[in-house]
Amino acid sequence: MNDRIKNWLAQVPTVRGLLACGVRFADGTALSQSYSCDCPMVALEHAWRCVADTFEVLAAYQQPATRLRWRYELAHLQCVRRNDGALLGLFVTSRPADLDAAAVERLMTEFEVLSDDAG
Amino acid sequence: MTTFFQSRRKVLFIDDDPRFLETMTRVMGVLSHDSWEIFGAETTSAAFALLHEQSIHLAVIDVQMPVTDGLQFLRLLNRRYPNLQKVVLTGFGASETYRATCLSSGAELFLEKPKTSAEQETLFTTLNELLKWQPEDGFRGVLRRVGLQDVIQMECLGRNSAILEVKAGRHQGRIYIKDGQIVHAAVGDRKGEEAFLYLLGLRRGEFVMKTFTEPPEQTIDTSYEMLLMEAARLQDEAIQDAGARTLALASGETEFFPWRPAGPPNDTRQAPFPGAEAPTSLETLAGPPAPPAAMERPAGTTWMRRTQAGGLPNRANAPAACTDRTRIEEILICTAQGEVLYGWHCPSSDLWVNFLEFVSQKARRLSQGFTLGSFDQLEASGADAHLIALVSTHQGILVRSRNEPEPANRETRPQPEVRDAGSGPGATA
Repeated sequence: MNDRIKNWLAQVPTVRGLLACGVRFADGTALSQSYSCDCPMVALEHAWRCVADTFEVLAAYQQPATRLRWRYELAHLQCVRRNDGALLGLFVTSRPADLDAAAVERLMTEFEVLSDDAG
Repeated sequence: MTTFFQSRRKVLFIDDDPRFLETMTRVMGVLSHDSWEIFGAETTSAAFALLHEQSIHLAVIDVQMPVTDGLQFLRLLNRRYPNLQKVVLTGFGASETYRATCLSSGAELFLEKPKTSAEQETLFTTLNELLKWQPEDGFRGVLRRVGLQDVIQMECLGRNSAILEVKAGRHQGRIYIKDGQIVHAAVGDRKGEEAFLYLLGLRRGEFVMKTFTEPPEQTIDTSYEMLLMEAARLQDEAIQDAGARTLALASGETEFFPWRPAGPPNDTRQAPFPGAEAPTSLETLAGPPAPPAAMERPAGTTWMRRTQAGGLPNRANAPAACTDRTRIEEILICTAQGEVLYGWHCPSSDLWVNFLEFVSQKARRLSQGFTLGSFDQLEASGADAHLIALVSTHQGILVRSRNEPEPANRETRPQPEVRDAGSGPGATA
């Protein structure tokens, strides 16, 4: 399944307002792509770990989540977690006018439903 | 600018096994090419002493130490040294819940103790990576600061001797700790346990730690654990009473928020959902308060109609407009010090204060290396449950809600309309 996700990530199209994206697998390995100097690659893996911790802590608080959004002044970090533990993180601009929100949502939904036999 | 490579990083290993400490000192010293200054502490007391003397960057903690519960120690460490990076080592297969509890108590990582040289190298690489992500001061304070109880607990755990001088208004008292035991307390005419419990029950004030001198008399021989537990029980009772009073006063706007902290008044009136307009009062948000005598969840309150489903971007198969309604299940507002200002159907307020603290720390960690600006809030969404955690330098707010289908025949009173997160700024169509 990881290969399927890796291939999918490699083919993520350019989306208006998307600053960086990445996947963290259940085994802790991660892949990242950055489209903005505001999101350096070196920091992304660290961010995915923070996100994974948050999902884990929420589950321990009896509040299991499949999606998270960290809202900052200049950017949002939107995350979705699959049943197999893999998670997708997307750094997007916080300015609605500069963001193709529908495309971002499409990416998150695609990631959620990706499967080995999905082509 | 000081970079990672320009200064030696100070790493503290806390473990009751001296052989493990020796191994770590030797191996990590070699692997770091002497770029780490390594300290070892066999007891929590020694650890606190080192943390007091040295500017430690990273603490690696064994959670299986005798005498002290490792988790308890971690929590104390997190409150006293919120900017210190903390890693938990465990020698056994810990449960997911325990792991999550450690993470929410301030641990950056939860790792198994290395047994082989390969595992030691892996541990070094992991810790070295973590050291590159030193917290930046000044962005945002950690939610909770150290309180009087924390300091007493730390001093007692550390088997220390000290005098805590407590001042609150016209009250001034002293608590004597000798070799980790509370031996005397005095305030006004009160002495002994009565004075101790009185001082810990004060809701405002300040305290300073002074060098220990022998007390004029010994009036306490109860263990510090029992005393702190009793103080916590009394505080819980006081908070419940205060909560009941607050709810009873809720109809009066000016009396509604008796403990409002300093800061912009609008801070406490932030919109409960992104995009929603701030309610004119919490009553609008939560529905009329339950009478103090009936704190159980009243049926039929807190219903709000939503125009879209989900607190986060809509799922692809969600209808563009659905009739699910959101029921607010829990609301918590606390100060930056973790004092609960307002709790609505919030029986586990301590738990959620810890969670807000966790969010505060993670928000800060997340922002490192990025240009994100100031943190606003975290939204979490599950199958039908949502959670919003707002953390500022003044306070934390947590709202937990659930989507529920509209019952066919239910008596309702007029309900406020709220715009959904999905229609707010930055949300998807």
